[in-house]
Amino acid sequence: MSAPISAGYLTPAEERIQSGTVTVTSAQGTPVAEGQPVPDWDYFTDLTATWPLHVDLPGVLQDCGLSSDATVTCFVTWHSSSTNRRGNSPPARLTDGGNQLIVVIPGTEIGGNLTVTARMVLAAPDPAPTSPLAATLPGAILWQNRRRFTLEGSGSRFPVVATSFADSGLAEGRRSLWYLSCTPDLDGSDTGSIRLYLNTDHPAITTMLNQPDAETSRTLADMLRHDVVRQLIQTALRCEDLQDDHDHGEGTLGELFINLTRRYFPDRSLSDLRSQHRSDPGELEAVIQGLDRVLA
Amino acid sequence: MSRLHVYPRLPAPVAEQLLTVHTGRDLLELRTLSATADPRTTWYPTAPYRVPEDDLRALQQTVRAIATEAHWPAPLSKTSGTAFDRLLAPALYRQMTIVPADAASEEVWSFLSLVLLPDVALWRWPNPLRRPGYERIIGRPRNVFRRLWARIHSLGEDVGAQLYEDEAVAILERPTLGAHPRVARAIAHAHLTTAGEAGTARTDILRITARRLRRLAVVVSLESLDDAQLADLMRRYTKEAIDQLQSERTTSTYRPVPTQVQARSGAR
Repeated sequence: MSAPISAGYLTPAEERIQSGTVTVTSAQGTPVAEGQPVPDWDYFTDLTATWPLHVDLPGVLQDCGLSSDATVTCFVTWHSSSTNRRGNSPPARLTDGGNQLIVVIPGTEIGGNLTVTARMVLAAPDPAPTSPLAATLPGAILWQNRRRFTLEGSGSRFPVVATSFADSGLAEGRRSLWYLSCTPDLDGSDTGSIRLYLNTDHPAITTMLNQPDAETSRTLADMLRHDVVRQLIQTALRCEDLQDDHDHGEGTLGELFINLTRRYFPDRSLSDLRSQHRSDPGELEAVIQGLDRVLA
Repeated sequence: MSRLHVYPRLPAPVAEQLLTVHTGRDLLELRTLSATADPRTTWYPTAPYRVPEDDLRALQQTVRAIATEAHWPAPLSKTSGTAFDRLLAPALYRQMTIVPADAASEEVWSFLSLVLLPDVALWRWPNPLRRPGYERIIGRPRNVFRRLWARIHSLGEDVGAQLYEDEAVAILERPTLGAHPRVARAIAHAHLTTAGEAGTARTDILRITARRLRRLAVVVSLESLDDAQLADLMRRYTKEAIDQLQSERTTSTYRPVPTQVQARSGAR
């Protein structure tokens, strides 16, 4: 889930909303909860996502500074990482107590990871809000929560290409080990923006590819993994548009950068990391090395 | 609705090798090297309908006919390249009848660009710097054919074919805006109807609109708005972008004369 974002208006306390088990089901299948792969799914299998919500509606309205006349709707959206497609169920008026949000997802439009998001929004401006800090814009998000399901593979597919640098002209055709190509477009697709080229002209790389269990291959693979992380974090820190509180959207390079820096530095802000990167980049690299336990 | 097909997939390493080999080749030679099949391709495993070879041949002919209208193999100017794209986009979308999820595969578009139609792909985007992973030919989102297909799939034929390349990119490459067809179409429609008559740079207007909408989408769920609310919002944001741009231009063209110069020249 993304970091909390200051919306500039009142939002409900988390305890006012209880989510039941969120599931995804194919026509013949059994419901699958988050964290499990969806079995037997293919492009030709539609899915149904179900999100049970129990809501203390008077409490939500009170927390949000809205009157009892305010119309709050809820619905569920989906986003597919491979097709970069979104859809949603029709918004329905939120009721006090149990709400069942259901969306049918066409199989031909999805792949990769499926993110399902439940949202509660203000449908129209409240005629008599109880607080000047109440949301006013139609569609203002009062609450949202996400779940992620794996449809294909074990997550996002990191594109790796083994090729001769001499033939392709990469890195001036030199006998380098690898080249991480990253177009720092924060709104671009994560897997579409990054590509790792392995130079098949280098004997260490061919050994790593042909004999992955060899001692030297394992060492090199360890170094490779670390170098990729190191370069991605450096690129992330050079992107001034990358901010802690900005939701770049699922499946984007921005989200990947945020998740990566949070995983390595959960207690540090991007501005703090940027500051260290500017003043002492060597030490920051050494920290990443230590966190990666390179050759340890 | 017609039957949806899956297409052959050319693995990434093979695609990169072919790109290296094809780059700089004579276009007539590329035409003779083109094919409707390649032994190195794979298919999506469980698809009931693989695209028949006859359909691939028909697609080849359609694309080549449009290229011929654009004077293939003569080099394209920027304007004629855009005109070719506008003609090709709807024809490609209609004729491919590809499963949209299959169209998200890089390998499918690499097959189209490097096996089926290298003569047209490298004519439209010749890769003059001989870049190995050239994004216009390898099947990534900016691929010569993929971006046109995606434009029509998301925006529809009516508005999709009317947008300039940079305008489509401004919408479709921002996942919060371009991934939801109803939202994407509302942005494009408001842009074409409002900014089309603004008499200023359309692409700049859309870039400002999209940037501001993306910020709004952090706190407002655009997909929750009904059609009327969405149209109203998009119209307002487009008008505000036009105002902003016109105001910036007025400010940048107004150059007050420095006081010392005024004094020297006697200007008041």
